[in-house]
Amino acid sequence: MHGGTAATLLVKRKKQMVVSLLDQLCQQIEVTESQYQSATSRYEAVGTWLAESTSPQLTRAKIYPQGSIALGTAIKPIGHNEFDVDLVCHFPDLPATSNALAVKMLIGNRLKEHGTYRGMLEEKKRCWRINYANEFHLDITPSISNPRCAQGGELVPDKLLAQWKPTNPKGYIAKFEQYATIQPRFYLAEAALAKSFADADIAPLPDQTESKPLLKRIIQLLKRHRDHMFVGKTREEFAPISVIISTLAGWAYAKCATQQVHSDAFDLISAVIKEMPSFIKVEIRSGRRFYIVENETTAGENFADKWNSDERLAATFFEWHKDALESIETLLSVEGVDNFSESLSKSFGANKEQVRDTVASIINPISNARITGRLIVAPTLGLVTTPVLGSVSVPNNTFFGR
Amino acid sequence: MAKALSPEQQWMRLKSSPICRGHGLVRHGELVWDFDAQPNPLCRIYRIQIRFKRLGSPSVIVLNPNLSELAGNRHLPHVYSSTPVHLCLHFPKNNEWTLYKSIADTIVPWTYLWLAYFEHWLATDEWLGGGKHPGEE
Repeated sequence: MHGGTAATLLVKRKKQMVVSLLDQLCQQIEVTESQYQSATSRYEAVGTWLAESTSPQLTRAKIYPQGSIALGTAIKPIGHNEFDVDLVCHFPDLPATSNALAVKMLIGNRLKEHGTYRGMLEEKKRCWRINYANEFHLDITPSISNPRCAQGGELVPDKLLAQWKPTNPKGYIAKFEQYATIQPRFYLAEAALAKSFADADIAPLPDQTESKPLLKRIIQLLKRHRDHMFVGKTREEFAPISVIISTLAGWAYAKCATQQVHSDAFDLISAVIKEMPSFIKVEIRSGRRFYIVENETTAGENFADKWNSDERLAATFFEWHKDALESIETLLSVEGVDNFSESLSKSFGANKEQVRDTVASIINPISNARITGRLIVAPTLGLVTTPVLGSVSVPNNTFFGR
Repeated sequence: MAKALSPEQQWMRLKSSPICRGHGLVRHGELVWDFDAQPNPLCRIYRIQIRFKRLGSPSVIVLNPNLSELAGNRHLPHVYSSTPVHLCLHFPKNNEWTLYKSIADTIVPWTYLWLAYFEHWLATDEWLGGGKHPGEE
């Protein structure tokens, strides 16, 4: 094999492995399907309780998820068990002139009538929280229709419950899903080169097709990196908020997947993260920077609103972004499964079990192929399961010694 | 009946195998073969030395990196000695390797396998390669 080609193949294969391992890591840190199901049945029960009220407004109200649970990007928190389930309780008939506090109280009063919910209830500024200890909490925010939004947007109370502000949870989710389903383009030449060395299916790799759309995996990794970087610090309140990460990643992904061609998933991931800040609009207003990350599905919602009253938030975002990009890109230069594991702990706060289960996806396919006699050593690539030119089978053996 | 492979014959096979490209020679009846092995692209590259004398048993030494250093204060699994590190790749009583078998087709692929389990062990403290310990015969 030509030296240059072997080196290219080696790097390409390493990128595949890194992407696959990051996918495995996400499976370790994300909210599991059963946790998700449990949360869903819990909030549906809350919805039923509200609907069985004698209040005509409540009987027409609908509860539905927003945020990371709705987007499929939810991850487990670091240091405690309860994850957030953000819900909207939408009142379709209430006019925009309704009093925000009164609408919020409609929900709270009804929940207090329930023997169980009463004891689990916690009042927050804009929403009601039902705590399921050690599982999750349901945050229920009231919303009414926004008659001025042509995209079917809603209005939610501001922090002071003084007025309503525009948002569009359903529209946002729909737009996000649209981005997530975009199929990225990869160089055919690269794919062909890979094919000629039977690289396309030279497992052992757990699952070459990522178990979730790449955009959602990128967001989970970024959020996890954020959580780890800001955990327990006095700066915790400066951590970039999830909706900014998701929005910028969504736009960056849409651009990179449709307008660019990449060699492989690793290059795409790194390009997407690199592109994110370019979607932050910066204007100069009264001599100061004014940041805009707008909700494209409704007029008047700026996700970066707080950055404009506290510039440190913008600075922290850029600091975090630089660190996140570096953390992902340097994974490629790490040598050794142990060093790779350490990087996962350092950059993404993976605990011992999460690291073990992630790197098990390298060794388990090797052990399985060994048992069934399909294990092979290929030139350049090492242990694989599909024969290539010059490969040698691994015969049965028993390790011996102390 | 097949004849035992001589150090020269083993040398020929090692030299022509694409998975252990390296260099070495037979001198005073002893074969010495050095090559680089990387179990997969995420692993380190290990410099391996195989030594073999006529009618002897091949010894496999990891020249580089220093595995004991990597292991820190942990006891290396499945090695004969740790300075230098001699790998125990087969159980003699099972005839997994015999004098009639090519080192390039047995000892070499087992070295890759051992190194793959070694790196997993380094990362997790779990040895998943199985095997026997002296006394379990």
